[in-house]
Amino acid sequence: MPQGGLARRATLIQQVREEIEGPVLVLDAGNSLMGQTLAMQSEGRVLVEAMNLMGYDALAVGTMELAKGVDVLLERAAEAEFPILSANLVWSETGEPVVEPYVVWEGQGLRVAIIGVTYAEALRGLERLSPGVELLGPVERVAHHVAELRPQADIVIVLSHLGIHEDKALAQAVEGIDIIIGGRSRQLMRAPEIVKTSTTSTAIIQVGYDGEWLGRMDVSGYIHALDTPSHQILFMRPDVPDEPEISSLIDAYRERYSVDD
Amino acid sequence: MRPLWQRIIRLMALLLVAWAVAACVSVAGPDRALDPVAESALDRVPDGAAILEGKVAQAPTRAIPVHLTILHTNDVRGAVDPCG
Repeated sequence: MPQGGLARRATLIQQVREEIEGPVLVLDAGNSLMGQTLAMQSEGRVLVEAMNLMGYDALAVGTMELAKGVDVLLERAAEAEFPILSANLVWSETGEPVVEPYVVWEGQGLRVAIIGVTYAEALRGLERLSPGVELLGPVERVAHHVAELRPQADIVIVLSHLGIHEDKALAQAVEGIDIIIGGRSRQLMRAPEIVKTSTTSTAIIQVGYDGEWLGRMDVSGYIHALDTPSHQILFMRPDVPDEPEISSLIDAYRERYSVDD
Repeated sequence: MRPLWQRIIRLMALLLVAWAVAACVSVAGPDRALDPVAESALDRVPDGAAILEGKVAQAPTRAIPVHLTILHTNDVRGAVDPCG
């Protein structure tokens, strides 16, 4: 039974926003903008437009964000109404980040720091498409930004394209991370894995691949004393209706790029 | 001027009231032994809070409640349609 798809996902996001009175963040841990035919032909435009309509709050740079090279990534970043983040993708000449390393989201009295981080081998095989950039060691870059942001943020989230094992190592190595929203390993996790250090308890989660599932994490407790977050997987089966604006968007792109269903 | 015995009774009444108030407000101090459940709860007590008979009293400037919902995806790989 096919499940997922942008149109159903948009419906679920809308439903959660209508249900919840408090703040809702919508995040993607990367490796999402390109891959399948329509996304490759549009160089990620269809995903960016859809994510704009769905109100995404941040996307981390993963391998597929670099599939057409860093110039295309920067074009998509300029079109996105959400930040595309990486703390460790830098210009080789200057060491400056190619995209924003983090964003501080503020809403309903809450300040949430979101740091993006990219798998260090994400450029392998794609170097000729992205001359002049490199990926630095992720742990050091995340540690640098957590130290800067922890004192001013109520919650610190790392949006990670590192993979589950690397996420656990990151949580052990860097104090002060509340949540890691991850990917690359494509694990479908029902509940977060908790990594504890002397001062921090980090919840790590990811939900599969190919847009088949939407994860929902509910965070409660008190600032600097969060409860273990609850988590559920939202399934996008055929009984979830398509959001019409997203459906129309996809149809328009299919027509523009002459891609059949 | 009241007789001495009346003053003694009045003083004892005041002491009794003060004791009753103190008995209703007991604060766990570092030199009191806590059972493991209570002790672990202290790990989650925000700065400035105090234990009042097993409940956490919130210091209004520091103990700020959090309610945040995060919806997340990863590795969509350009999929626009249902898969699987």
